[in-house]
Amino acid sequence: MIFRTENLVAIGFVVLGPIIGGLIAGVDRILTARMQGRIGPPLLQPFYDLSKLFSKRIAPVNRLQVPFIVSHLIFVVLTGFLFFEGSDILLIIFVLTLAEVFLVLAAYSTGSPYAAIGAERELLLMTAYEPMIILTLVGLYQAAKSFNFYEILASTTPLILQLPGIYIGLLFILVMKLQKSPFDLATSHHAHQELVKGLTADMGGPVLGLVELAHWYESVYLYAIVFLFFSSSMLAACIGLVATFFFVILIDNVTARVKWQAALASAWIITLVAGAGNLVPFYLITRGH
Amino acid sequence: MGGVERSIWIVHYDASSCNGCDIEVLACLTPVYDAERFGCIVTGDPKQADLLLVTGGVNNRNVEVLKSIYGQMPEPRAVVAIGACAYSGGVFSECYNVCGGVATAIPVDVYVPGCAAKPESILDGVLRAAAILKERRVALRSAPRNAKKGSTEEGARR
Amino acid sequence: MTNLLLLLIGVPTAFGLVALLLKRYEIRSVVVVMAALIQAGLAVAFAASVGGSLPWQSGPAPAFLDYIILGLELTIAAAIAIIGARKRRLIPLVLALVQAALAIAGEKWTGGIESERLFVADQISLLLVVLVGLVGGLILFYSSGYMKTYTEEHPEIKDRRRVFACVMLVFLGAMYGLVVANDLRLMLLFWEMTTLASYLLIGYARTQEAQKSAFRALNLNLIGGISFSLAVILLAAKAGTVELDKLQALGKAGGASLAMVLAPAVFLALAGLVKSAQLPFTSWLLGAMVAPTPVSALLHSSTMVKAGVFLLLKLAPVLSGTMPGYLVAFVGAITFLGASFAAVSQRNAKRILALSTVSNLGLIVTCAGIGSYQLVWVAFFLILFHALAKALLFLGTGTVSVGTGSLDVEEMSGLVVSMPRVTLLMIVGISAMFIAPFGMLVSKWAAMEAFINLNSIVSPLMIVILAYGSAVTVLFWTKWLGLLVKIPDPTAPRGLLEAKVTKQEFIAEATLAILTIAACVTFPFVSAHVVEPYLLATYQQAFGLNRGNAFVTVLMVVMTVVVPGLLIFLTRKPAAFSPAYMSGRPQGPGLSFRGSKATEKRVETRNYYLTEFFEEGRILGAGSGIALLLIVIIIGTVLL
Repeated sequence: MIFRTENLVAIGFVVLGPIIGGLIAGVDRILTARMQGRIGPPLLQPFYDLSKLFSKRIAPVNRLQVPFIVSHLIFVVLTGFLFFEGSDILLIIFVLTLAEVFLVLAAYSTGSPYAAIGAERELLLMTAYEPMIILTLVGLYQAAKSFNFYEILASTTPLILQLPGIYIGLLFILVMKLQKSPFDLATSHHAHQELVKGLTADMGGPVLGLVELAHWYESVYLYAIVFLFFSSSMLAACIGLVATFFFVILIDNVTARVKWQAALASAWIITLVAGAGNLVPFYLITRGH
Repeated sequence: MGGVERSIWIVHYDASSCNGCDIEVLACLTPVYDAERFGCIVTGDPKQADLLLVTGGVNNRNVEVLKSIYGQMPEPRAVVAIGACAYSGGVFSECYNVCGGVATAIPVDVYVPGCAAKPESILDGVLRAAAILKERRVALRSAPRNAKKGSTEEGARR
Repeated sequence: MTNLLLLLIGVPTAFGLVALLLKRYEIRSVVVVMAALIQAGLAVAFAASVGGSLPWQSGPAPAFLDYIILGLELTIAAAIAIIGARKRRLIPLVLALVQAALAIAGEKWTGGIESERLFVADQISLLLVVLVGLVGGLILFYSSGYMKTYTEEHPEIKDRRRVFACVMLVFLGAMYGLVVANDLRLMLLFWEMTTLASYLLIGYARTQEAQKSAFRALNLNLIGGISFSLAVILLAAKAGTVELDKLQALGKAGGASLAMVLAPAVFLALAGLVKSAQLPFTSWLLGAMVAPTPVSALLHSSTMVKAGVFLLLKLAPVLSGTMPGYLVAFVGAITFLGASFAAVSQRNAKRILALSTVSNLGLIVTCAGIGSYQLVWVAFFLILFHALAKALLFLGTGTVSVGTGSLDVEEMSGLVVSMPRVTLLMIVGISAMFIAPFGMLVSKWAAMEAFINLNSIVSPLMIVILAYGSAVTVLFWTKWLGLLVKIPDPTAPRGLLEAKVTKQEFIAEATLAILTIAACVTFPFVSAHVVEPYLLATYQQAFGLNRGNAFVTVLMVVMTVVVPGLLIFLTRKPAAFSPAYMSGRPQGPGLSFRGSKATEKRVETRNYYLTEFFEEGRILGAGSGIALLLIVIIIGTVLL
């Protein structure tokens, strides 16, 4: 078997993904604290949290919860591995849906009222963001004529200029995907008492640690997709990525949580107006004959 | 990585406080005191918490709730009782429905004095409890794994 | 080969008539099971024997055949007219008379024509033959167990299981005839046979609701049949032929010959739209769920509705690239979107399944209407995977509903504890409908790529529709899946409701589950050896998964089956379970807590149904309106 650079990157993702994801989370928390006029936790705080979670001892709620969560993590990692290995990203994103389904099922299986509401809301959010994700990938394909991460990466024209609407749509659903306010209806990192912890209400200790780990992995390739929009120049990519990251945290801090109706309707409308509104003309202009 | 004493997730229970201490607990999270500096997060879920902060004395109605919340916290865990009422029932100790301090329901590790307790001393109490959590984790490591499984029943019995 | 084919059509029919004569249930059920096995064997044998060199063609029709066909045709019309008259229903009476009149009047054009090839079997026909054989056979096998329980549980319904067994078997025979007939007059005969059979099966219970649904199915399908008759007459009058393969050849030739056959093709397509329950004709299939479960399973999976998309797929080379073709595709797309939206707000398990069927058929119709070779590839696999998974789900739902006494999905909450074995099979079925590595989703993904590569004006619109539709699909299936895996009390005894599950039911469901997974694992092979040759022969272009993607999907199927299974198997039973969090209230067994005054409060959770967004009536109403408009335009474009 020939060892390609892609395989190295993919293995690198599996090994280093948690480190990068954890650092992203650490910076996120510091930035959030600074926006609120606080000092905030140390940069390595997410790693302390994770190590603590794995040192806890907790009995599972039932026999299915742990297998579902482990499957969730495995499929999230697998999605990222295939993503960086250069597989068809449209196919891969459907695999990510499978991973999310495992997480939702883990919450459902507990039967707990808070987890049930969290699971329903997470499903709603999935419904809300899924169309935009698909349109994003189709847009990237149409611009770079490929579903391969590296081939899109190699495109010489800045994709953001061709796909501004799709980028806006992606930004919108990125807030949902990263469980940020105003779309943190399913679960969040803050203590929302009426929901307890929603989706993760009945997960504690190592089980929650696995969910957290999966979330870090996921954030890495979500930002990798954002990266693709600016990939023509390294400087633009860095600025674009940092700006996106900053924007998501800013939105998290200046908005209040919305109801599910608003989450679903706004995401779908943005998808239709910004996403489809960009994709349809772009497709018609660039289609071959 | 020694995460335990640097990552303290708190569940806060108001037993029957006059809300004075609760306000001070919340003050700890504000920019002035910023408890997150020490890795403290307030979580609403006992299953994810390491530390139980109790304000106010225990009464006949909430004693079972307090026990249940404590019971659902995974090991290692610790309890901080905040203020005079949490110590002894305080000014309410003579009330017909008050049982007394938190220790009448669950074991307490740290008492924070005051009526209401000052944010500085609450933070101090939390950090002392964090040191206790660290010791417990070391003890737990050497203990056989399945011996501690039924934390719920154990918590409820005390 | 022709003899084997005649045997394939004749044997189920003959067994059906035998079953009608057998009074004793025990003997009859043995005969039905035998018939199921034999016809499945014949179907596979036929597929295997002609599979080597496709398309397989038979000789010309015997000279007297068209009189026999006409005779049988009139008999069916008369039977329907009598039914209409006896039940005092005007519409079926009138429609049957119109059909009879068309048959007689059409003789003027179709009478003299002799078809060169009576039967033609290509890969699509064989796919249907194998599906009807295996899935239909398993459903028959299942029904021998299910109908016994059904009759015991419903003493108010008259026991007409003899007629039931007979019609089911005749139905299968007619399906075989339909998918291999090349002479459209013959196909029309089988087409009308399935219409009549579905009327009889839907109305089995003879309740008022059953009657109403049965007549709705009859009326709409008769309209489809009339459209079919018109198509045959038009084809005979314009092109002087009644053969499907000649129609395809003329259509593919383009130019003047396409113009000649476009109108008949469009009327055939309309018949296909009715049969595959597209908007605005969806109501007949939704109403059909009053029938006993095996009927629903049969109508939804391998027969009836699949006959509709089968015909459309056969017409794909003709319609491809034409205005009516695109419009048909849009009817399909609207149906796909509307039905999957409507499914979100449903609580009735059979209705969710029915709407999901309609939605998937819509996608197949879209693929066939646009008819590029990639989309035909997609349609082929959608038919395959949908038939298996949907049959499994209907049978599973039937079994479960006998156990829980309800069709409400909320009553299936905690089923993994009370019926673990059946639930496992249901999970396989539901996963196959929407989860990543399984067939349906791979087909949807392939559809997406096919639309992108189409480079047509309609592509981006279709992509947007598909994006929304598949998001909603995830929502309504996962909601259901979530209910199944809910465990209210981890210490409760397992399998309490499984006592009523008959052996036949379980075997049929387990076989379908195995077939579903097998199809998912072997589909790159099927693609390479069955579908690609067809595409090459029909479109001179082939499409298959590239090796990497095929590898990824197969790997995923294996992982999705193995990983959770292994994890559940490997995790030891914990010494204790921690109860779910209930705001610190002291808890009792299962999901209950002690409320005030020491009362025991049960906790019940219900799913979201989002009726303010996904109200069925509104969505299907709007969809029907648009679809009807499109159909009027379609007819307008060919007539003007």
